[in-house]
Amino acid sequence: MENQPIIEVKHLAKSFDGTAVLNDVSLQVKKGQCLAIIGPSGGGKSTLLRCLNKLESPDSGEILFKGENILSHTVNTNHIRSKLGMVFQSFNLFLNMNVIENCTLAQIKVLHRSKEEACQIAKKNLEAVGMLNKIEARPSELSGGQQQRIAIARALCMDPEAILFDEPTSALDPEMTVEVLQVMKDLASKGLTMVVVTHEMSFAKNVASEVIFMDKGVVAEQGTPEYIFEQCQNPRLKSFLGFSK
Amino acid sequence: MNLFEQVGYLLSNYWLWFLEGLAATIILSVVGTIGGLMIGIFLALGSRIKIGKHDKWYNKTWKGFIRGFCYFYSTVIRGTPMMVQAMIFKYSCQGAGLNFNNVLTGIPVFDGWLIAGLVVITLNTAAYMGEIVKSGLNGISKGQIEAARSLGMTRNQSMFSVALPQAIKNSIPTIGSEWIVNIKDSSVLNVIGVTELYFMSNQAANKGYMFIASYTIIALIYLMLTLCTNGILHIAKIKLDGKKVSFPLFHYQKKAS
Ligand SMILES: Nc1ncnc2c1ncn2[C@@H]1O[C@H](COP(=O)(O)OP(=O)(O)O)[C@@H](O)[C@H]1O
Ligand SMILES: [Mg+2]
Repeated sequence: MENQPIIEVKHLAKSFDGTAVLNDVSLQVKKGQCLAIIGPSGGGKSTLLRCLNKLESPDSGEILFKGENILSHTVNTNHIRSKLGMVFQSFNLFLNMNVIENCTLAQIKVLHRSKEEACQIAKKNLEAVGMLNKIEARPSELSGGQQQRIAIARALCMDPEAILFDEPTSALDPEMTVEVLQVMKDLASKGLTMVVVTHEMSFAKNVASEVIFMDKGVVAEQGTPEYIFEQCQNPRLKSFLGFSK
Repeated sequence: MNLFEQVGYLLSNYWLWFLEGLAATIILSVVGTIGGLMIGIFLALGSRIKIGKHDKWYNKTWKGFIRGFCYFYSTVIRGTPMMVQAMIFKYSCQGAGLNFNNVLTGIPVFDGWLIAGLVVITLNTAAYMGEIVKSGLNGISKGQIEAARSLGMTRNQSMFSVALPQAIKNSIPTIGSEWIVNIKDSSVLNVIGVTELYFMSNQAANKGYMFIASYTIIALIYLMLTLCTNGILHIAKIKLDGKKVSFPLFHYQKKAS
């Protein structure tokens, strides 16, 4: 099944305290695809991403990871999570560890790699994000952009099938945003499967292979970057894009 | 004799008693604090045990029992004086046929009553340490735990590798003040015959009818102890902040520059 999507979401619904946050959301992420999700705050983008690796549990619907329904109780959640990386807006590096320990901890604990092997893989991925010279630094000694690049390396170390990014540059100043986006662009061009919630329209336009516009808990528009940014006549989307210019 | 002469008299005649009492007090406070912290960690973890929606009924039962026990223990111990706890402990043990007079270790100072005192102060401190660790854990950002979980780590792995080391490190000042409290409060253990500093000075005071002098001596000793402890804690804080090393997984050779 070469063309089986890595992630397939079917009719997903989720509400918090009676308020629907996700309403019949369906989408597919294919291997090597970079899917950008844009939309106004509070539209349910983070909740969708968090459902994908079960940090939230949806009320109904299906999430298939390589054809397997991850919402079933018999599925090994930790195994699924180790194959679906996540990068957060606030980096969330482990503050009691230095850079290399951040990148090796889960490799050792979850994938049962030896320290030496984990270190080697960590160094390879730290090199890919340009942070190899900081392996002994503590998170508190690093800039936001550096921390986020390390968080990306930490996710890469698990050899994930896909990485979910939740507004990875929203906490960064413009200069650091550029350095993180550059790393993400490299990853996309190397064929990493990515789902990126972002307010960086240039990234969605130039790097993403597909764009989803989420509004009020539904997939309001979906298509190629050209369609979303140029052809689509949806007034909500147009006003959103107008605001975010 | 004036006060100074009395102090001199007591020290020259009973210095060994004061020394023994000092040793017992230090042992009680150090063991009580460290042992209490160990048990307190389990109390904190126990009171945070998560009962899952899909757990089997027997798992829900034992998890509920552990949580209930941790809350009950913490409430009762922190809500009653250690002196009363010590008396209940002593007479319960005697009722069960265990008399601490008969516990012989052969080590000076380290008699049966000191062991009884160690048990009481450790169990008492555990309840306070449990609360300290609990609030330390509450202070750890949820994001780090989510990051650990998103990498596939289990709840326990994230707890022991990420949350707990930080919670304990951040709690070191509070744990330190608990140590100082223990130095002073171990004095109430004299009621069950633990020969700590207060007990010994009481004995010396009665021998020579020199009450003010005897208690002044131990007041100064307590003060010295707490000041030293403060100093140790201060140095520990600087070391921790300066080196920023808490629980390293492994060490790397520094590159030669
Ligand atoms: N844990 C939660 N409890 C209650 N409400 C929540 C929770 N998480 C998100 N929400 C609500 O769900 C809505 C969608 O939030 P979110 O998914 O974060 O949107 P977005 O990422 O698009 O800004 C918001 O109105 C938010 O207040
Ligand atoms: Mg969000």
